[in-house]
Amino acid sequence: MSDAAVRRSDGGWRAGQGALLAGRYGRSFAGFAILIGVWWLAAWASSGPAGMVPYPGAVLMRLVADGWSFYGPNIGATLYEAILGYAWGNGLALALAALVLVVPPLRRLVMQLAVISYCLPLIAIGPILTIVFSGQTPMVALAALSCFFTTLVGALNGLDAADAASIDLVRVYGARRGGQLRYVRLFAAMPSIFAALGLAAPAALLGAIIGEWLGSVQQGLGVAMVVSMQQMLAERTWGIAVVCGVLAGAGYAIVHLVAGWLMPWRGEGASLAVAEAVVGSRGRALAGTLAVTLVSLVVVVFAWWAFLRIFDVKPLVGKSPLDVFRYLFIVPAAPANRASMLADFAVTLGHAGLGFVAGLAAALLVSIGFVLSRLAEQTLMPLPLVLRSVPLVAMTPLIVLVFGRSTAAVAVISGIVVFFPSLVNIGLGLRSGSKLSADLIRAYGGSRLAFLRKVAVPNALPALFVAARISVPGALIGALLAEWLATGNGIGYRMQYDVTAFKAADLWASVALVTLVSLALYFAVGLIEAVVLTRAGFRGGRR
Amino acid sequence: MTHFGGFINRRSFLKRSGQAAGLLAAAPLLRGRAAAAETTPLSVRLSWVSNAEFAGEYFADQRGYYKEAGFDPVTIIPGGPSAPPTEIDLVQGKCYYGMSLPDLTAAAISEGAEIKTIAAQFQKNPFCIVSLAKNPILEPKDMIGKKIGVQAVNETTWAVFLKLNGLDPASINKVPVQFDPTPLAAGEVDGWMSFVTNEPIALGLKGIETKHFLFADHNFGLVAETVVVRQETIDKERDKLKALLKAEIKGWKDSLKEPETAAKFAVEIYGKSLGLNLEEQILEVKAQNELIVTEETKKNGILTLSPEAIERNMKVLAVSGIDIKPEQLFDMSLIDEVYAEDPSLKA
Repeated sequence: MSDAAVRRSDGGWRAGQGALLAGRYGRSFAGFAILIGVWWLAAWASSGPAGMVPYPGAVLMRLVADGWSFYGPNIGATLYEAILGYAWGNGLALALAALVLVVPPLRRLVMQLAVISYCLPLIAIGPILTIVFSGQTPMVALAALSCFFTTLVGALNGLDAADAASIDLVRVYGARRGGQLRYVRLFAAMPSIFAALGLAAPAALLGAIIGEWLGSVQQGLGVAMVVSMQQMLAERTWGIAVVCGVLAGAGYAIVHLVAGWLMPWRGEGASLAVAEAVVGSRGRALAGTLAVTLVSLVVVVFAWWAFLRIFDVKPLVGKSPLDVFRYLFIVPAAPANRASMLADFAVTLGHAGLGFVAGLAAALLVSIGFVLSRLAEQTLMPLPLVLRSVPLVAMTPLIVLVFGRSTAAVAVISGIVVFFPSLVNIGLGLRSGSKLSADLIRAYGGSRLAFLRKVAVPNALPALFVAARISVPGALIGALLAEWLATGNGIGYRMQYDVTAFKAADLWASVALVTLVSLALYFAVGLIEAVVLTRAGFRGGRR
Repeated sequence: MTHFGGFINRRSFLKRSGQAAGLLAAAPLLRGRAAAAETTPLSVRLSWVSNAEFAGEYFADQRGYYKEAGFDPVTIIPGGPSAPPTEIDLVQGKCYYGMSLPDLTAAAISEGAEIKTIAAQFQKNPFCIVSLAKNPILEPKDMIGKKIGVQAVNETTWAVFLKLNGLDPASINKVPVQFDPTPLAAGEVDGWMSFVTNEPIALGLKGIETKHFLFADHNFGLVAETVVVRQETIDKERDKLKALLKAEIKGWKDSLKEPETAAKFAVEIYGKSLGLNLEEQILEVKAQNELIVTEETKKNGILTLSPEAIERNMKVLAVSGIDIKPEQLFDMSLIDEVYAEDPSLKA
């Protein structure tokens, strides 16, 4: 039902956005001015011999000094990976969506597989991809994985979005399934698909950069950043981060422009919110999904096995599902293996829980602030998109310096991963109260606060759950990242260690465990969501 | 050609026939050349990003030593902060040979990898603990109660080093870090594990005064930048490997003589997109040259390992709990043969 809620709100949101469009770019600009201001203050506060945060001016000068001869090849390499991954990830997603449209019974299975791919922590499979593939392939694969899920869900929901009347009309005129697809559904799906494609651009870039960090390539922005960090060239490191952000923003803008050109009827500004919301908008197809889940797990296990075979991964390096099972349950050391892995995993779960709560709470507070002050929203909302694409790895030294290497840093790092998608979703939910109710409150002289209390928050419940559900894998990824870069414990660090110590079975077992738990938690939140929302009087079940 | 005979005197006849004989003698060689024209592609896996740490390989490539050895074209696969270890790429068949560390190789062998170390570039282990001059850590026991930054990929080495020096890991506050030494400069940690050839130089160029102690001076007898290959390659392509080792030796000899050129190769060719600093790279080459040449290599040739050196390595590995015999990890017969066949390489 949040499908419906999302779609309903989409219209309202779009109308509101349209009216404010004129001032929008100006305010976004103000937002960036504020960002630069904060940056400058941070530089000022941290200035010392170490120079943790360089001044924006110094970064710009260094950027110009490094120039195209430094950035050209690196940008080229990273863009190549990102664009290729973008093409693969989105191409596959769209092809699958089309397949589902032609063979509707496949929908659930495809969805489940997509969810599994979404729950697969990038940080965890990065090492596996770099082990198996050479050159830039691991980076392309990571970029593809980064955008696959969003686009698939965006496309599926978009294709469903055609209203029944139009479909009936086409049917009356004698169109069969294929005809429906072409004439109605495709048109209905385009805004949603393009919204997802827009978000996929920064996601693919980030995937490529993470790949460069994990793997071994000759050039690329990620590699350049590693070297620059070792040389302690803070200005250059930050310059590279800025370039990453600009590239991500440009990718998003290009898709946006193409979409506007292809679909002049489409409202501006809605895309970010829609696709993020769309990411979570199904998933409470829980009743009777157990069978589908089992089938999809079988498919995954087979795919895993086939992957090892097809790419000729040597047994010493690539472990099959059976090897992992043996490692955890059959070999003499199995109990010890299990115990030590679970102990590490408990730490990770704690970290993920922390990030989950911190990220969601922050997103809730900020989006309430946005509802109360439209100006604040207009000014600050574009920032998350760009900040998201600045590799967290670049910011970690700073986060660690400010928050230490303990719990607080984990909450921040994992929280950041959770924060951005949640912010968009919750913001959308808070706005989903009907325009009539809002007008009613205004007519009686009610304040924005009253609107918030009486309409916005109760109506945001579905969106809050969507945010919570899609945040589960995010929180785990954040926790792994924090463990890898800051705390040095938990399963995130264990996997790093496994790679160096040649402990392949342990590595594959860890990846499987993280993915399974991520999946289980994702469905657990979905279950709670279904129960609570039905109780709360939102329409239950699927459309 | 009536005057033909008149032009040939005895001297020129002898000379010409000598040339002809030379040509005849060279014929098999030329055929060999033609066969060698079907060269083997070579992929070299580095243990870090392509900076001057791999100067010897760069010289071997730039000056055609690899080509002379029958390898062409040459692909250089860099490592990175979280790149899988060389051993994995070897097992997976992604490289022909690569650089690693004996402890990593031993761990891989004990997990079943069929690989071996056939030469060692750095005779002295380059790992050190760097500290700020104003808060110096001069020997292992100074680390007790201090915060030391250790990278995930160096975790194994760190644990072994503590054991070798009888230090309780719990007595030292180990902090997980990456390769950006800012936490040390900022005072977040007191000590920093690194190659003596990297971070101390970077910090120095930043005007930050540092002190360091080498692991090598405190019971840590492991060599570094070891040349690792598959056992299969040793068995089937012994001559090719020997030719390769010869190229390696020549490359590293050049690097010892020409640190500036070595640094230039890194900055301008192999690490072109990395934005390396020439001054820093020259210092790095000079620092690593001191790790390459020892009393033993002066006698036996660079890249070799004496039985005593192997013994020192085994001692460290035993402490690290890896149960391995020297002959499972090292095979120095190839490089010894190379020097025996061409003693001029020692000079």
